[in-house]
Amino acid sequence: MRHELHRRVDAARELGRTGAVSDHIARSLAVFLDIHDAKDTYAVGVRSGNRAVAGFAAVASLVLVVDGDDVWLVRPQARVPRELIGWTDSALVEFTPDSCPVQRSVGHAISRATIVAAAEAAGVAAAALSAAVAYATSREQFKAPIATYQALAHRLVDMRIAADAADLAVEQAVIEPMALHAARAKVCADHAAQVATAGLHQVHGGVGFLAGMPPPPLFARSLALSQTMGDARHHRALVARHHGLLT
Amino acid sequence: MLFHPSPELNAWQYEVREWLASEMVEADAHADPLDLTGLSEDFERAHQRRAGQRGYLGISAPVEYGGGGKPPSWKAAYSYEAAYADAPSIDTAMTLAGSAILGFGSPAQRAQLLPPMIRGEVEACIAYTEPLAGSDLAALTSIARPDGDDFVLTGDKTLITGAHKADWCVTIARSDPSRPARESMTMFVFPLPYDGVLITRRPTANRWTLCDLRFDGARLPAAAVLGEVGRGWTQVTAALADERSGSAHLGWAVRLFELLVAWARTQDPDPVAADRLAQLDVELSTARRFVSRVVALQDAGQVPVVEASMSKIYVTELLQRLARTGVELLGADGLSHEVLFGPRAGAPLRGRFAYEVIERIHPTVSVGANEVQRDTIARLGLGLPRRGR
Repeated sequence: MRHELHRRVDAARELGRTGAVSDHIARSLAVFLDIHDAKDTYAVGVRSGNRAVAGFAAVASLVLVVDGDDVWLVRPQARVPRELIGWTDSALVEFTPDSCPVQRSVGHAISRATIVAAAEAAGVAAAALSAAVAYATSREQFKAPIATYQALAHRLVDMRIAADAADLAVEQAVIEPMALHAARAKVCADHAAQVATAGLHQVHGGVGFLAGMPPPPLFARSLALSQTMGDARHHRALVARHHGLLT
Repeated sequence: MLFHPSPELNAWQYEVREWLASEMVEADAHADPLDLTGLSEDFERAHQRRAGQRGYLGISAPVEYGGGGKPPSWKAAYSYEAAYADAPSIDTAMTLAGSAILGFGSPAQRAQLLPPMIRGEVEACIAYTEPLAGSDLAALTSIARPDGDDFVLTGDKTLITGAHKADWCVTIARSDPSRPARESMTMFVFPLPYDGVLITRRPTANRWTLCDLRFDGARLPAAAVLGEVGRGWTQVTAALADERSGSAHLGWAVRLFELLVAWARTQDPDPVAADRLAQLDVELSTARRFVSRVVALQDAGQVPVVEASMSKIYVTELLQRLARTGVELLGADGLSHEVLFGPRAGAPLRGRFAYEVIERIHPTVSVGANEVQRDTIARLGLGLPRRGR
């Protein structure tokens, strides 16, 4: 299982580096739940009442709806297309909890999929950093590469600090894949992806706002990942409960 | 790359923690708010001698000088524990001057200085900073004029920790002002007090004192030269890089976080406070890993300049966020100031966060301002071009 997690984390980080939209996280959760079937295609979402919104939910044969330590296995009857930033084939699915199969107390699988999501966010952060460094060292304004300006150089450094923090957090979570480390890694990596992709946009200036330039897909993917396998607020609540600060 | 302590190190660190806690039981009887440690010089010296006898202060120093010969991670573990315990054995002679003397001292200097430093019998100070040369050490103007075999020192040093109680001083001055700045400097090590060296104490924003040191024609023999004449700038840079793991800052940060969480658990549940503290938990765990990475690389025999700068930036800025959050969560009581040791005035958490919110201003500046650290990372870590000068 450790080896499987390691492999899936490495693959997630590489996917993050390309900014690719994939079902890797959903498929990883299916593997960790021990229900993976090559015939199925997967999506993963967070439960909100008897519905969930998720990327790939428009095409997935099985939508994994996470709710605390439980996962509902939803084979959608009806799907309402939704456009979600940073995803493709997104949809809202409704399900009837009373008649839907559910796996209860599978926190260990949820933690592992959370680490996979964090690894992908760490990859996005690393990709945004290297794209920003590449642009800043080639783009000239005021007769010098913009990377020579300290205000910009220091912003790049802060992106590097955030990206390194994310990689180290994921490294530790892989070694000790419990809920607490998974939560910390997700908060840390989401933050890194946000800092690095926002920085990438700023470094690229106006031209970076055009579709087809490097910043938009990475920025969008950082947003998508921030809402996958629990957002930062959800994971901070878990950390707060660990310290006895919330019941 | 994270550090994974051996069972031997874990056991030793636990022993250190227990010992430091027992050392600090009587600390309130030895308060001195004018010292950085908050404690009297007598208490500090006695404590450091006991730490030295137990082999703690030179745990990572070479065995031939009485050290423990352990990897650098052991030294970092001691600094962490001493900071966590508020014990007056963080700025020891070994911490402040050890790497300079080990790295550049003559055999005679090492044989004379290191054993008493490792035994905790002497205090040291490092006098590098000048009024016109802080982050830009190459701008220093103190002169060490060669005179026969001697050097005659004139000039002003400032913002020096612990010079008033130091037995030895490590300093740097220009021995050949005709050379380019970075080839003009020489380091010296000499005993205090010393003829022609005037030390004055100046109160800081947090009441304890830093020192000014004036060289007024102090005559140092050739034997006081530390390392090579003309190589001072290179040596100082290397010595400072060696001292930056951030483990002491991490010890303080963990202590502050634990105090704050323990206090919050005694209050009515507050989801806003819980969220703020959870975010600080995440950041504290990041800080741990940045320090852990530096220690792992140091144990592997590297000098992790970029990683150490990242660790220094992250932990010192986190300390400020911790202190500020503490003041905010404590509300009106947050600004009740008390001294760290001595008679209590009854403020919640002993006025700790009011003390801390002032105290943690200086770590983002000292031992290389964080802006200078960011310049280092930009150049060495990201390969960014330097602006033409």
